[in-house]
Amino acid sequence: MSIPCTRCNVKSSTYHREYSGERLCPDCFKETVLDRVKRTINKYKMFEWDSRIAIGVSGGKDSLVLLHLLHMIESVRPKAELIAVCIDEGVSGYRDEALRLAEINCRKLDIEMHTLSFSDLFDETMDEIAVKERELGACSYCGVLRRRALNEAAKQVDADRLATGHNLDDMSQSVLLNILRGDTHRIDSFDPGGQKLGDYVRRVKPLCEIPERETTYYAFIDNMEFQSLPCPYADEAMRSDARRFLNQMEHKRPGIKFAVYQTGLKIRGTREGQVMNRCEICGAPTPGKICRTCELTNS
Amino acid sequence: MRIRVRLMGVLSKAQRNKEVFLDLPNDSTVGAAIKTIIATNEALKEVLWDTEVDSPSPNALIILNGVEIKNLQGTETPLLPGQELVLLSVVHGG
Repeated sequence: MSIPCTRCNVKSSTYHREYSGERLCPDCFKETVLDRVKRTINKYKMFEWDSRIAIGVSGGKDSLVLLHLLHMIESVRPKAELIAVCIDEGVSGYRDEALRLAEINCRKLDIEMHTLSFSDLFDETMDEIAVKERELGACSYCGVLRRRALNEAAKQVDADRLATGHNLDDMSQSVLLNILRGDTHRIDSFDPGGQKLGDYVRRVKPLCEIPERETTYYAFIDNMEFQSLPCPYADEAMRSDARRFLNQMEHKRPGIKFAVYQTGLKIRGTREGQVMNRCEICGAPTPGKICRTCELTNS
Repeated sequence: MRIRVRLMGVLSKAQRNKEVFLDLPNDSTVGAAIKTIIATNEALKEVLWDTEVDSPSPNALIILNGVEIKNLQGTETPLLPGQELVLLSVVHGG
């Protein structure tokens, strides 16, 4: 027996949003996701009417959903521009498929795509880094280098914003991880709306209030092709633990991810008075003497 | 009865096939179908099944004939011949 959509009351519902009690048909589901992303953009004043927005596209579902949503949202602003920026970390097999998916979607939406590789920027691929003797897991290297690479790519295309596909699950995991690690600096910089810091292009996270289940379901009903290969270096044990814990809590108590995310927003400090130094090696803004990218690439 | 199971994303690699057909007893549920498909595939079980609570992983999106099963009766949803079950892992390949 089909249950009518609680929003339009016309079509049959296909998705139960447990934390709100809504039962939605595919059209209303997509509209409510779009509305929430628009509200998030407005709440954090993420874009100007004429922003040149670099979208970090990995080829995964989150970044592809972001690409499609921003294409819809920004199409009513003729002065706004979208450019997809893709990072080729040099993970053979895995990244080839992702870049192919990114290219298909950019072509479909007529969005320019700019690719930058780890080997261009750091003279090393992730495949080469992964086989080296190292203190940290591969994800730690990849995350830091990828963040720098995205910023460089955004600068190369003269973007004034860099939008990434971080979703509610990513955000709530980060809050929990930073609390567990006692990393007060990162809690202070928890900011979905981002800030212009020195040479860093302002990073914004328009999907920060969309749960990962919903970006996945959106991609499914929009007939997007899914990446079939997992990253061979995915080994971020602590984040996996946080993800599993939050998923189990959300299953028992729907809405817990929103609560953790809101807690992060409440406990973060302000950046006023926070002094940023210049990295002694590359000149990038850093709270210490050497930035994390240089620490890792020189270790 | 026979149902079609479509595996998307990394699950298709875990099963080494994008779709399989399952022959099940007539009064089977979604939960029974999933247990059948993971019974012979450890890689698929790892992604799809939460052994701690003996139910599908909260990371899995399970869709029966276009309807997510949380909008039905969850894993207790009865199956009908010819239906299509889509299994999709939420976290991988993001």
